[in-house]
Parts: sequence; C-alpha cells; structure tokens
Amino acid sequence: MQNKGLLIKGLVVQVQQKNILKGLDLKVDPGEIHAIMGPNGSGKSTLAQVIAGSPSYPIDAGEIVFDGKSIVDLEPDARAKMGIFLSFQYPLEIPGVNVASFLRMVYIKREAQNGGDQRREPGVSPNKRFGESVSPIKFRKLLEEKMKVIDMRNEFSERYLNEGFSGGEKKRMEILQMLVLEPRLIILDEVDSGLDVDALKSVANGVNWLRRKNPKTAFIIITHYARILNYIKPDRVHILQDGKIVKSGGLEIVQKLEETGYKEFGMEESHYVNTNSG
Amino acid sequence: MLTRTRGKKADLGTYKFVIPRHSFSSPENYVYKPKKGLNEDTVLTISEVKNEPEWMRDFRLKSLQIFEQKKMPDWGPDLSRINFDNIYYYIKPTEKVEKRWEDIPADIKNTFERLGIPRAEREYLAGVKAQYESEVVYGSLLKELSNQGVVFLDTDSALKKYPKFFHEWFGKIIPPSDNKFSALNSAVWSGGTFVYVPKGVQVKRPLQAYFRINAKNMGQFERTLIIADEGSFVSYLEGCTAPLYSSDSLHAAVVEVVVKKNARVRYTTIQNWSGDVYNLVTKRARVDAGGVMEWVDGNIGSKVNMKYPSCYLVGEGARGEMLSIAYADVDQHQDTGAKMIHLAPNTSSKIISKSIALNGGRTSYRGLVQISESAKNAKSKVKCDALILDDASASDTFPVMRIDESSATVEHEATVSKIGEERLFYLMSRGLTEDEAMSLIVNGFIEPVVKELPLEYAVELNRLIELGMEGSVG
Amino acid sequence: MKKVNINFNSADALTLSPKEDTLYNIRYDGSKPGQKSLVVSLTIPNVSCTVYFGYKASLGTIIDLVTTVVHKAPYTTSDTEIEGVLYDGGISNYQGKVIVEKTARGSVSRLEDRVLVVGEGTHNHAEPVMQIETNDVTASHASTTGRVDENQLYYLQSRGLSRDESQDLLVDAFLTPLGV
Repeated sequence: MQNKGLLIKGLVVQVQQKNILKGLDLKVDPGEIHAIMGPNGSGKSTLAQVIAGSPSYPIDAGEIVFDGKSIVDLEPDARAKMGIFLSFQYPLEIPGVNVASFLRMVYIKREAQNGGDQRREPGVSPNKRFGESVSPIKFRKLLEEKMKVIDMRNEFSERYLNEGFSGGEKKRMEILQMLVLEPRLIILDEVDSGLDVDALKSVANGVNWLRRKNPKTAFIIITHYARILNYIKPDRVHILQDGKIVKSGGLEIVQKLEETGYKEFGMEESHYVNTNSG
Repeated sequence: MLTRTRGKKADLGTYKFVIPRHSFSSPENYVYKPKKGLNEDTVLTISEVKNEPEWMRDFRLKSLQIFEQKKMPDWGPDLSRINFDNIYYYIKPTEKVEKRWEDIPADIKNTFERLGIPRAEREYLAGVKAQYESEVVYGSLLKELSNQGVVFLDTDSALKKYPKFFHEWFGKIIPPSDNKFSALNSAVWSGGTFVYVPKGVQVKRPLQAYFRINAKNMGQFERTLIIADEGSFVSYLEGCTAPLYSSDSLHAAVVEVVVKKNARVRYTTIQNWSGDVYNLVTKRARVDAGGVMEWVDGNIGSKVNMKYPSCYLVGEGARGEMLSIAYADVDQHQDTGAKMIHLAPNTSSKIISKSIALNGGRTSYRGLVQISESAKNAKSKVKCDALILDDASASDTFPVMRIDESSATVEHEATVSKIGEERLFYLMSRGLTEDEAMSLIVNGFIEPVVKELPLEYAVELNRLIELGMEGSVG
Repeated sequence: MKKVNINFNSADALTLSPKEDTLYNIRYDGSKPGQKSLVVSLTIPNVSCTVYFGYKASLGTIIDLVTTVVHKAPYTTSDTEIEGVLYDGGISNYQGKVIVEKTARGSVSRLEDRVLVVGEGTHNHAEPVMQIETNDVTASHASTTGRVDENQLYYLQSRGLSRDESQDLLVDAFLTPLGV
C-alpha cells in the first residue's frame, strides 16, 4: 500500500490554558529516521502523544496528515490501524492481561484488517477467521523469533502486561509490540531513558531489524540525549524548544549539542547536561 | 414424568402428589394443596410429605419460631419488598407448575443462544422442565465415586440414609438462630446436596450438582452439607454459569461444610440468577487442624445478593480462603464479602474480592477478620478492589478487623477506581477499539479469581461478563 | 499548608470544613473514656486535607477514634494516616470513613491505618470504610496490624543496642509520619 508519510503543519496544543506546542511543522517521508531533541518541557512527549491521539492533549489548531489523510479527528485505534505506533515513555501496567495473549490479539486484528478487504466472507468476522489461522502455537513461534531479535527471555510472554516490569523491561516490551505490529510510522518517546548499554543495543536491533524488513517504515526518535543516535542513525535532526522546532539539520547538530549543550540553541546549558529525563 | 411413589396416588387435577404411607388414617381426609404463606401448618406439611424423622420435624418447628422472632437486618441492601406471605414454601419439583417455553423472556432465550447451550438443558435451566435427564451421561462417574466410598446425594435422601451424619452436623455449623434467613431455611428447607468423603480419599473430578440423578437443586431453600473426613479432598461446583430463570423472588440457601484434620475442600459457585431474585445465602465452614477451606464465588445475577462465606478456623494451622468476583449491572446490588474467624494458633486466611459496577449497579464488600485471643501467630491478608465503570454506579467497602491476639499479623488493602483514560489510550493505540480495551482491562482485573475456576466455568464467566458489558460501555 | 491541632483530650467531637489545604494533627492520649469523632467536609474544589494521628496505648489507655472525611466538591484530595503503637494491655478502636459523593468528581483519597504491637494482651479493632458514589475517583485504604520485625530488631541489636533500645528506635521510626 502507498505510504505518503507524515505531514504536520502549524500544530498548536494547549493543556490547562498553557500552550505546549506553538505552531509546530514537521515532515517525515517514508523510510526516513528523524530525531527530535530538546530540553525538558520543550513539548517533545506532548508531540509524540498528540500524533498517537491521546485524549489528554486535544488539538487547538493545525493539521496532522498521515498517508494523505487527516488524522486529527481519528480515535487512537483508528490511527493504529493506519500503521501509527507510539512507544510510550511510561508504558502502562495492565494487570491480569497475559502478554502472549495480548500480542496475539493485536496481531490477529492487524492481519485481519490488512487482508480483510480482499478476502471478506459474508457472516464470518475477519477476526474469527484469522484467529483460526493463527493458532496460539503458531503465534508462539512467531513471538519467540521476535523476542530473540531484542534479546528478550521467553518467560516474559507468560507474565502480565508490564506488571512488575522494570523500566528497561517495559521499554523492551514496547519494542516487542512494535515488532509484532510492524507499523509504518513509529514514534519512540524517550525509549532510551533508564536503559543500560545492553538494553539500548537490543532496542536498536529491533529498530534496525524492522527497517531492513520494511524499508519504507518511518521513525521519529524523541530523545533528550544523543546516546541512542549512536546506534540508530537519523537522516534528519530537529531541535524542539518552547513548543516549536527551532533548528533542523543533519548529524552535525548532534555534534554541536555534544560540545556545547542546548545553550548554543538559545537555551540554558543546564538543560542538556542536567537531569536524566523521564 | 412419573416419580417413583411409595403410597397411593390420588388425582387432584393439576397437582399430583404422593400420600405418605403412615401418616393419616384415611387418604380421603388428607388434602394437600400447595398454598402461599408461612406458618406451622406449612412446616408440618413439608415434613410429612417428605416423611422425615421426628427430630427434623421438631427442628423445623423450632426454627420457624426463631424466624418469626428474628428481625430483618438493619444494614445492607433494601429488603423491604420481600413479602414472606406471598411465597409458596413447598412444591415438589415434579409438581411444580411448569412454565412454558413461550413465556420465558426473550433476553434469557437469547443468552442461552449466545452461550451455545443445548436445547434440553435450556428448558431445565429456564424452569420449563423440572428435571435434567443426567442419568445416562453421569452414571459411570457416580459408580466411580461409590467405589471410593464417597456419598453424593440430594439432602432429602441423605437424611434418611445417613442419619448419623445429620445428627452430628446438621444445623451445628449454622444454627437456625444465626440470622433470619438461616432460620427460614431451617424451617422450610428442601433439596440441596449432601457429600461425604471418607478418610484419605481424594476425589479427582469436581462434583457438580447436576450429576445427581433427578437433580433437585433448583430449590429456593436448598440445604447443603459437605463433610470431608481427615486427609480427604473434594471440589464441589454449585450451580452453573448459565442464567437460571426464576420466578421465585426469594432464595435463601444454607451451606454447611465440615473440613476435618488435614482435609481440603473447595466450593465453587457461579451465581447467575436472572429475574427479580433476592439471593440471601448463609455459607460457613468449620476447619479443623491442618485443614484448608477454599470458597470461590462468582456473583453475577440476582437483584439483591447477600453472601458472606465464612470459615471458622478452629484447629491449629487451619486455613481459609475466599476468592470472589461480584458484578453489578442495572438495578443490581451485590453485597458480598467474607468472614474469617481465627480461633487457634498458626491459622491463616486470605480474602481476594474483585467487583465491577456499571449502569447504576452497586457493589458492596462486607468483611470480618477476627483473631481471638490465643490464636497465636495468626495471619490474615485481605485485598478488595472495586471498579466502577460509569458515574451512575457506586461501590462501598465495609471491612472490620477485630484483633485480640498480640502476635497476629493482619493486612488489609482496598481500592476503588475507574478505568483510566491513559490505560484505555495505551490499549487503543495498539489497535483495540474502546469496547475491546475496556473488556480486556476488566478481564485482567478479575483474572486472579477467574484462574481458580475450572476451565469451562472460567470461559463461560468471561463470556457472561462480556455479554453484560456489550453495548453498555463506550 | 495550614496546620490545625485537634486536642481530643478535652474535646469529644469536631466537624470541620477547610477552605484551603489543611493538615489536621490529632492529639489524644486515650486516658479519658469515650469515643472521639472528627468529621472533615471537603466542600471547596481543589482543596486537600491531611489527617494525621499518632498514638501509643498501654494498660489503662483506650484509644477510641472515628474520623470521617466527606468529599463533596470536585478535585479534592484527602490523606488520612493513623499510626499506633500498642504496649501491654493497650486497646484501640478506630473507624475511618471516607465518603465520596456524586458531586466530587476527580477526587483522590487515601487512608492508612497501621498498628504496631509491641506488648501482650492487646486488642485492636479497625473499620476503614469507603463509600464511593461516583466513578471518577481514586480511593484506596490500607489497614495493617503486626509486631515489630524480628529481623530488624536483631540487626540493631547486632550493632550494640539493647533489645529495648532497638524496639524504641523502631517504634520511633514507625511513628514518623510519611511525607509530612
């Protein structure tokens, strides 16, 4: 299917009478990797959540177009169907919901939806038919392959979704979901925060694996530090400050950031050198 | 269908009945007409028709007196609409005025349809047929049990065949004076299950009420007695998950369980009465040293449900557990909980209660943990969580802890919450619709209890809750 | 946060309606018989209240306390913390009610009742109650009763403190209010 990429124009998002995003523009073409960096409070996470359709951040003005279609009025699941995926900065715990069952459920939905239109049978819900063709055993094999890509132990699939997971485990679970759903536009919201080097490498493996499989996948990596960009090389880098993108360029921006911090971009040095984000 | 009869049969139009052989000089003088209202006459008639021993008849009469004296509870759901005079207190199941399938409400029939219940079973569940022809299917299972020495009968028959057990335990765990409804049941009880498991016997397959031939378990005033002798194990499933249609407005059952030394009993109920039913049940277990009692309760139906399974931990090291789910939809009030009474050292108890209220339903948790003096090192843990799905619904938590032993450890935790937007968003961003996301979260919420149910029950319970939630959320 | 001291050694019952964020500090030594009741009514939106009560009870003292927090306005927060230590013969009765009415959307309430049993012949009776009439709320309560952790005692003793000194230390730590 055709993928026309993401286009954001003049995005304004207000939360409790405060402007968080103040007219943001962004264009991400299929197959591109964009990094969005910025100090705390610049609106990075808000941007991520707004694209995914969070009810907490309604849009005041502006446009978000994905694959040629405006998505601002679409529910989160409709956006997911279009292939948009957000790796949450703080993934939520869903007690009592088994990981393997959950992943199989969302996998079946996606498969059914992708193949559904052509192979529709009257009276049989696509979910049911695909449910039968993707037995739990078959799916288990598929799941184990994907877990291997990110070095995740099989026993995680027996646990409840994010319940009792450490920060790093939660982030890996987000990436596993990404691998299962194989989305077309992926937003990684501070996926690197709280991860040690090994975990970071696993995450990068996941991203690169998906990229090799589906070269037209687009990525937006939201991060405070440049560390992850050593493992996943972006095509474009943007600096987000005070609700707007103030600078765009290539990897040289990251270089500058490493040397001088956010100060050079009109911000206080402490913003970059300081606290661990998240 | 004709029942095996012992005496003469007389014809009185729609009501066929059996005249007990011994009681009256001339059959023509005796006319049994089921009538409404509760008085000494009714109780005497019940005892006569059942041909019971004198002591049971006296027990019933005394219980009636207690019932008349006792007050209605001044706490809990509104019971003011119960009219004790407007109830038939005894009709033999085969003589029950049978309903017609045509009269069964459409939504009940639809539920049967969706649950895929076979036609014959539907009629039984709807009260259209008084008996379930279970003989063929379960005959071999029953043989296996009797080879092990396990007794599994309806209470009426057991009273006659095994009076010793009844003398020893009947009415001892739950005396008629316990509460108004146990008094009522003690006066007019009919039907129910009796189980005796001999020493050391492990009954592998769960016993279900409708395994019994001529299952008379649809009664309003069922009386169940389970005795697990030392070192034995038995699991009993009461009722079934499919909705039981009842035009009876009041169900007051009594369940007494005796768990002897080192024995283990698991008693599972999925209560799913539909219709305007007040379900007021008294369930209690006496647990001896090293014994374990597990109550697993699913409360989905009835208009008002009041049930507080309890364990009296009388022997050292005895253990009691209560796992329950309560689901309150439109016009329902689930007032449920548990009581754990620690009377001996090193006893332990655990209560997990999960409840869901929606569409104006109300769930209330009412619990008691009592640690008596000298119940050294007793331990108790209670966790009750309530989900309220919309702003028309409500939930209460009324726990009581009475700790009179200094070495005891007691923990109690409760939460009341809704399904947060953030969680919904997280699941929806994975492609689930809002309904699916809510359903998944609710299933996850009740999972700790559901995983303790036998598989078919678990599957049906989930389906029932999903059916209930369909269209009512989002 | 405004601080209000409640002295139940002289008073019996109090009903309060805070207009701003308030901390209620209850003082009560259980030496005089009779039940003491504190009712806090949250009628102004966005207001939060904390009720704190720490006590020690031994032979001759009976702690008999009822606290009721009623959320009537939206986005109100309540935090009730009761911490007690029971020495030989100590008795405590505590009833903690939290009521969230239909008009109190977005409210958050928490109640914690903890009893540390140090002596023998103690009795405690706890009834934490929640009555929630709206779904847009997060309410929780916890009630625990237990003895001093033997492992902790041993650890302190292994550093040279006597058993009594160790116990006193742990009791003090227990009574330190969380987050206040």
